[in-house]
Amino acid sequence: MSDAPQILAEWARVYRELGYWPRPITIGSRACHVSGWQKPDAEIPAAELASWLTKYGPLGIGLLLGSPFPDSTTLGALDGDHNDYMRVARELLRDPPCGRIGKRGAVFFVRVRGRLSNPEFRVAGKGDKVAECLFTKKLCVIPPTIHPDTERPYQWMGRPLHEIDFRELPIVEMGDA
Amino acid sequence: MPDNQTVVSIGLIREVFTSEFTPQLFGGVDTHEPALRLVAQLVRYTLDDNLIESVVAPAMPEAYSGDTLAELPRMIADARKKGFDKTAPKRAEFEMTESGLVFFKLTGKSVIPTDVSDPLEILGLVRDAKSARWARLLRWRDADGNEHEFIASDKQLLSDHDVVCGDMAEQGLRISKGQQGNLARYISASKTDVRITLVNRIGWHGIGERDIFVLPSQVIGNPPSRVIYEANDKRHEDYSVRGTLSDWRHAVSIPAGQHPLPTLAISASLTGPLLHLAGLESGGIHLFGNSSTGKTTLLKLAASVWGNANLVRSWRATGNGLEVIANQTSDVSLILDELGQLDSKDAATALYMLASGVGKIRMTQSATLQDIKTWRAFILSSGEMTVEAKITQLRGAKAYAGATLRLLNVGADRGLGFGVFDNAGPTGDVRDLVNAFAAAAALAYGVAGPEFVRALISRALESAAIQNAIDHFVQSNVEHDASGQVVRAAKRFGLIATAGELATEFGITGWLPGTAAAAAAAAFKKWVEVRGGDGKEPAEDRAAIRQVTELIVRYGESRFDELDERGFNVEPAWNGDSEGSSPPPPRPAVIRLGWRKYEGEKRIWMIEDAVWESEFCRGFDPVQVSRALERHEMLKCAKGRFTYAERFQDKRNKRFHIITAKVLTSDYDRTPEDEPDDNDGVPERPGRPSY
Repeated sequence: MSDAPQILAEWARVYRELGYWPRPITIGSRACHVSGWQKPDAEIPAAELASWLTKYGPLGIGLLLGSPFPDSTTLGALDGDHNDYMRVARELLRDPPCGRIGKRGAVFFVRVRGRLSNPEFRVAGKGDKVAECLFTKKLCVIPPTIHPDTERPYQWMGRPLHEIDFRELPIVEMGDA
Repeated sequence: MPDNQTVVSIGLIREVFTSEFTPQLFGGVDTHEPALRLVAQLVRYTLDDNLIESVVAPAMPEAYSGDTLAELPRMIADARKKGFDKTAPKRAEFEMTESGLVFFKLTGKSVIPTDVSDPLEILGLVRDAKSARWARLLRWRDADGNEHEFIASDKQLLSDHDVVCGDMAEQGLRISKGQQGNLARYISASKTDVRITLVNRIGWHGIGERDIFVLPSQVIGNPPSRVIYEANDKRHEDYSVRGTLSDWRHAVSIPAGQHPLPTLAISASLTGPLLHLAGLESGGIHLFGNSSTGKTTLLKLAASVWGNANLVRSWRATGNGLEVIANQTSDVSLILDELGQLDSKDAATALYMLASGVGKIRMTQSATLQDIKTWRAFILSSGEMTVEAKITQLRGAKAYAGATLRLLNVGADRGLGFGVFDNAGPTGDVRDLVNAFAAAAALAYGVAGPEFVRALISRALESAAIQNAIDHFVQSNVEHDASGQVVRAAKRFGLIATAGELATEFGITGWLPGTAAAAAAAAFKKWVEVRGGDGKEPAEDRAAIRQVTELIVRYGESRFDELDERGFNVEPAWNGDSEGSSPPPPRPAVIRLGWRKYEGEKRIWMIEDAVWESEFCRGFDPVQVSRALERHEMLKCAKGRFTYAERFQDKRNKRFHIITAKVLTSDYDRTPEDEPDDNDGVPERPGRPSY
């Protein structure tokens, strides 16, 4: 047994029991360590899901977005690298209970209702991407994974996601967007 | 934890992030103009002025000291006054805002917002497992804050939106007068990737290649998407939960484990989920005995496995009513009290129907087939009479083995002076014991059954394992040469034993290993006793012999004309000693069944083919009746035939079915030694015997 912290082994069980879809993250990157990670857990054999915990125990952990909640919404994240925009986003979402910070900007976790897509937001006339929605088939690295640039763990903003009742998360209404 | 009521439309988020005016505010210089323009863009997405203020304000730097913040309320009011909020969003003519659904009506160049309804959510697209009956699952809160979920059928939204909207209004959704069409149009046009599966019966369902178990209040397993149980009845609370598994185990199960019949009742109640896993047919057991022996208490204990005492239903129902009840209890247990209340004329039909697992075929108004109700029911029944007695209450009705083997009789009196119990309990008064069990079952219920299913799923129990356990029970309790029917019954008791033992292994019952198996074995022994015989003679054969015997006992003298050795009618005795008297007239049988005569010192009865089939074999296969009688030497047969040529009116070649006197003396409950016990309906002789 290695002395390295068993980040995936320790936390994937917790998130899986809550209905989330944890994925192994390659150390020193933000990329998923396995192929086919975009499939929902229900489409991955249970044995394979279980094997990740033993094979990739020390790796980082990310969540595949789009996992369903009992109220028919799904897990999503609003991700932006600009602190100014994320300050506005925080007000827009009425001070969401759970976010995650890495090197700059922030990610806020939300419930998503309606047709799923991953809109990107660019300022009109400039083309700079200021934020994006991670709502389906996207990955969000979560603490205590080590950030590849800062070499320090990602941090929770507010309470950790596993301590949050899903009903506490704000809803983003997609409509027919 | 209170729900977060924040709902933000993606349109508003997009507008804030993509507006060229937002970054102009970040610098904190010359903020008036960009704030004015940003506000004008945002008012079309929300009626909530506070939200607009709280979004624009943080765009300013923390050290901002200008007047723009103070001017925001006026900017918003002006924007609305100038009609910027009436500019329809580019992408939709409807918008769901925090205050409700708004319809933007285009009239010339202007857009008029119209209030449609209170807010509602579209949770997903609903369809059944066959990808039919598409609908939308909606949710809203009524004026009291109570949450309502509602399934709006796509078909009805198109064809009858007034009715759908009326139903929604009845559930507390405020809808503006005359806006039913717009509301239906908004709902119908909504798009979502969320899929919800609708099921119309509880129990096992294969969804997305997974076995899941549906109860009205919960779905066990891990379905790939939400599953909703929809039934017309509102008896969901029958499957409610009270107390914990530990409460139930200590108050109900462990005390019940000290008495075989309560143990059997609880084990039987757990049997339903195994029917599907083992691929077995529906059926059950019937607890019969005098009143006030505790039968209904057994049923309440059984009901506590899945829910409250309302799960004990009454046999007093029509065939259609029973069909609905069975559909509601599929894969759990169908608990029916007081068989005596079932109409006698419906008894056999009801039993076959419940055991077949398929309801009546009905037509829709457009002459197509309606969905046929199906179920897998494990029945736990009670009554003062046996199943056979109930079926034969109706004059002329017969209790066919097929029906009685579906619901196995178990005597509900242990014969120890305590009714269904083996002792009087701690106070020495069995009435206290009955009351204590009833009270315990009312305080803790609805947890054991779901927990049992959860364990079955997590252990991925396979059919072969269940079959092996059943086979072991049969080998341990049935003689190797028992009839097929006895083995079939033993398998059902073996299934009950398996359910009870598995529940014990899963830590649900708190019983010692072997407790459930012993209770099932004792019940099987009781069944064999009630059935009678040695367990080797098929029930149909015994019933057929009983029918022939009854006809001979009743009418062997009165409806058979006596013949002499040459086959002529015997004249009435007359000694001619009386002056002027004449011989008495012959007195032939009025409704003749056949003829009788002496063969040596023993009687035989001669019956013609037509009468044999219509009267003696009524309701049975004549070949099977003949074979059973022959096996017991009650039928005199020529070689290769079931008939025999007897001398009749001095002719020698008339063939009859000849019943021998053994029919009055033989013990047909016992199978003759060294005779094959074959119940496969195939004649043992080559070809079908000729008459």
